[in-house]
Amino acid sequence: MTTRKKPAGAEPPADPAAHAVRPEPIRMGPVRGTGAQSNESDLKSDADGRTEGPLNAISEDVAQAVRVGYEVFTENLRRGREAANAFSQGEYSLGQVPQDAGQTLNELGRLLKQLTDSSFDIVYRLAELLSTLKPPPPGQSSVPPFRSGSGDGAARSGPAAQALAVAVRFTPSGAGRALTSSLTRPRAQTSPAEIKASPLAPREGGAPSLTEVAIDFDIASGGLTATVSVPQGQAPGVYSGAVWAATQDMPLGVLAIELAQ
Amino acid sequence: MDGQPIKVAVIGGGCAAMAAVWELSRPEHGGRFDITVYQEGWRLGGKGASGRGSSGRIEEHGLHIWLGFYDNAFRMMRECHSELEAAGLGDIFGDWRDAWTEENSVALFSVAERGGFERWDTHMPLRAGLPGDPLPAGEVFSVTYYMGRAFDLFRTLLLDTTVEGRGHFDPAGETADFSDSVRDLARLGRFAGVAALAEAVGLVASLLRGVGPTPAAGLTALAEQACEGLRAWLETRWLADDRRRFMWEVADLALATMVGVIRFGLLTDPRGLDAIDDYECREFLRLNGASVRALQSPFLRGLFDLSMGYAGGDDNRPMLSAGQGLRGTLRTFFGYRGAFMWRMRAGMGDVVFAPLYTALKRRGVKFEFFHRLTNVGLSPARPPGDPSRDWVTSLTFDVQARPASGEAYSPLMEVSGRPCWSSRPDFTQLEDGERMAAEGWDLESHWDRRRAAERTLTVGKDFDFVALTVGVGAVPHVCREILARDERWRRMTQDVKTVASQAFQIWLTEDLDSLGWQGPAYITGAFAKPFDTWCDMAHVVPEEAWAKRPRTSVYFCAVLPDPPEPPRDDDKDYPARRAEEVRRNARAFLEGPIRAAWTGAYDAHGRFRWEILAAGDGGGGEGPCGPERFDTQYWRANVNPSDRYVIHTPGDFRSRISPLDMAYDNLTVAGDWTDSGFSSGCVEGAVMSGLLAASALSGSPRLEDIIAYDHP
Repeated sequence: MTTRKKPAGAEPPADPAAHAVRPEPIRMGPVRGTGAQSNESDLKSDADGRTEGPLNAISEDVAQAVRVGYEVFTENLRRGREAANAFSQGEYSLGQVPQDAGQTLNELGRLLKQLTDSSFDIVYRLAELLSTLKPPPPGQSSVPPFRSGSGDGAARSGPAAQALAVAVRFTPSGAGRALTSSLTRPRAQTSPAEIKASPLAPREGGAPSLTEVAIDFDIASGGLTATVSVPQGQAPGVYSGAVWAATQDMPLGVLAIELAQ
Repeated sequence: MDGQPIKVAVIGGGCAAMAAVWELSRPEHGGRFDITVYQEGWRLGGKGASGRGSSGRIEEHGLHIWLGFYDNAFRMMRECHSELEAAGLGDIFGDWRDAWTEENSVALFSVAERGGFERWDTHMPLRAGLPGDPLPAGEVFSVTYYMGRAFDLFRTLLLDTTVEGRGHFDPAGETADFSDSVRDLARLGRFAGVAALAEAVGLVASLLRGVGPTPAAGLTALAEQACEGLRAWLETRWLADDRRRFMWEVADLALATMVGVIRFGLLTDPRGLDAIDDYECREFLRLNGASVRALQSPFLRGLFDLSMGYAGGDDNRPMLSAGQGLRGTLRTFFGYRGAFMWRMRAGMGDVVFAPLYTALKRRGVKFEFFHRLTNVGLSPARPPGDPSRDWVTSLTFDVQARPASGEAYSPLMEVSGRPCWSSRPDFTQLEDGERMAAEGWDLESHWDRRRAAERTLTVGKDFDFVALTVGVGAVPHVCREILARDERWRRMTQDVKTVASQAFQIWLTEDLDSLGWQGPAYITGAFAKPFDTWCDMAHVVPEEAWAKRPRTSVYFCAVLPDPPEPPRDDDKDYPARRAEEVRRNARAFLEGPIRAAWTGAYDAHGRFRWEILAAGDGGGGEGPCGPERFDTQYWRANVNPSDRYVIHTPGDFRSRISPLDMAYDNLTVAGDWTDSGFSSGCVEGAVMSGLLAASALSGSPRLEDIIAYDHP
């Protein structure tokens, strides 16, 4: 510590400018760059002696990924053949099955990890190759916020929060138009395969129902898609049918469409 | 030194202050510093303060998790416990391993695309060493080191993550159906190949986007189409199986991070991760190929929730800077020692601040409670061109209350044989205490300015050095002279953002297992808003003093959105209004979203069973019925300027002032809002800052001895 005119801890200074002064720091901030320079190539070890440029390295990594991929299948086949041979020669005991199964899985697991590493390698090389391009400045790329989570179906408030969008497609396309745009969200967790539509019956007249309605999940919109197959010669008019989730007794709503003339 | 000790005034009593005082009062200094801590209200702890309420209940500011990379904080606490043990107080405070226990389980929720929530359980592996151990010889922090660890993490997640209780892949042969395992492996291989291809094409697309609008437009569109096609393939063929989605999202984020590290040259950039700190974290990941799906993943949302990274407390404005975000993530996942997290045995006040207070008192540190700083007086303005520096000439306080006896206020109470802080001041120790209690003085409220007296300390007489450790939100209120004179301080208070937070605690007569929650996860993140983060705290209940002990307690916390206009200083009812808002939020949360996790907490009509809340000392049937029973529980709105949680936003690292800064001859700063080397709102950031403040005043500790200060 240094002081101006008066040491710290003494009686009140007569001179108001007298005060204790902190020692000068050796440095003012962290050293951010240490430890990186000496071993920057460690991430992608060159233990195999590769010194080629990124393009060659990518080729090698792709080749390695393919090679390991083949190894996975070859290993699988080899073990299968070995077991089959042993079995046909009467040398295989059923008691060996659990042990063999475990070994096979372990081996396949190891190979798959290699495959994953190879996949990473490819991405790494690609990034390295393209790292010379200047990135866009901050604030230029928009990213949507997190999906809001207010809880389960019962916890949501308001009709909009309960709605599940449904987009209707027709085969052949343009065969009709949708009269339904949303359904009620299932109360419990439900997979798309558990959602079915009843045959769409005509509102009037004796036309046969539309029996082929495929329900799927649309990741982009977060809703459902319903694909309605319209047989040739189907009578025009309004058709409707209930949409059911296997997880509940109450239908999710009614799917209504109108076929054009 | 002339033999007289240097008088140090430490303003504030949170983690940063305690770390600074701990260093300055070390016996190695030989009494060189005469330290006084000036603390508003009746307790130490700052944002980490806790108190004991009725039935000895632990009442926290929020939910405090000590992560396994808090090396500096743990080192301090380990030393503290050793010192108390050596002083014969080990029976009271115990070993540090009694105070913290290991925890490696995390549960994350994601909003299911088909409604409701999906739960993801992850178990982090134990790692060598213990937090606070000296770093192994030769170990340095580098981006290269972390990238290598990223592969290990991926494998851990691959092997150890379970969704709804089912694992992904079990190579040890424990899976019941062998054909299922083989099928899993085959799909895994296909996944790895297509995932890599999707990442690669996605990367090309994102890079082309960055080249410029015209020449590459066609190529960009092509690449984006190809990428979308691949992702769609993955999502329909692979991710339709929910068990795979978590892995895919984490892999996507890990790959985007690695791509960013390479693309931005972070392996060698002397600025370290500050080189990307002008980017928002999710923007940075997106730029480097992360899918929108991954950017909305529970993994990422859990990190944002834990960091309260929402501008203005608005859920729709996730906002964390990329550099510090990545630094925090790398430290969290790859820098921990022993366990991933460490649970405190009791309240943070009991486990951290009571031992520190006791040990520091023994070292001769003085504590002046009920001192609220109102002004930092500066030396006269210097003429232009004068190269000398300003210095602090005075410190003015509102003395909120005075001990009746004339002796120092005794702040600790005993609960179950342990020294603890109280949730309320002990008015019986205070002059006019009875009247203050009757009038409802709130000695921690920024808006309650009642006081017993004013006191001014003078430089050279009452102090030589000052360590200012109040929260950054309080700085504009207590450093008006500095802000009026110093553009850097003004910029710091404008640019370093804080958010208000809300928290509530409930005590239950049934454990979570019987309510349908499948443990053993400790902390649960990315859950429903507004209380996205909550924690089963059954382990602290035995430390409380119930006549009939509840089965568990659960703590909830989250950001609290700011009003469009900040409250005026004379808006005395503001804290009460916000607290009432928290009470309503908490009740609604129990009536609604928690249903997804605690199905057994509801009756046949779907109503929350309020009777499971433990009320009264008996913890049983006494107390109100129905929703009003919630009023027997605990909640709070952390809206005081000094209580607001510090977040790191793009570019704010430039505005943070280091404790080492020499703008003022006799002043240093400390807190998680400073440039501490780890600029994040957490215990470790605050402790590192306190160590820097001690170093600024004494030259000790050496900067090299502050673990991970020199970090990319």
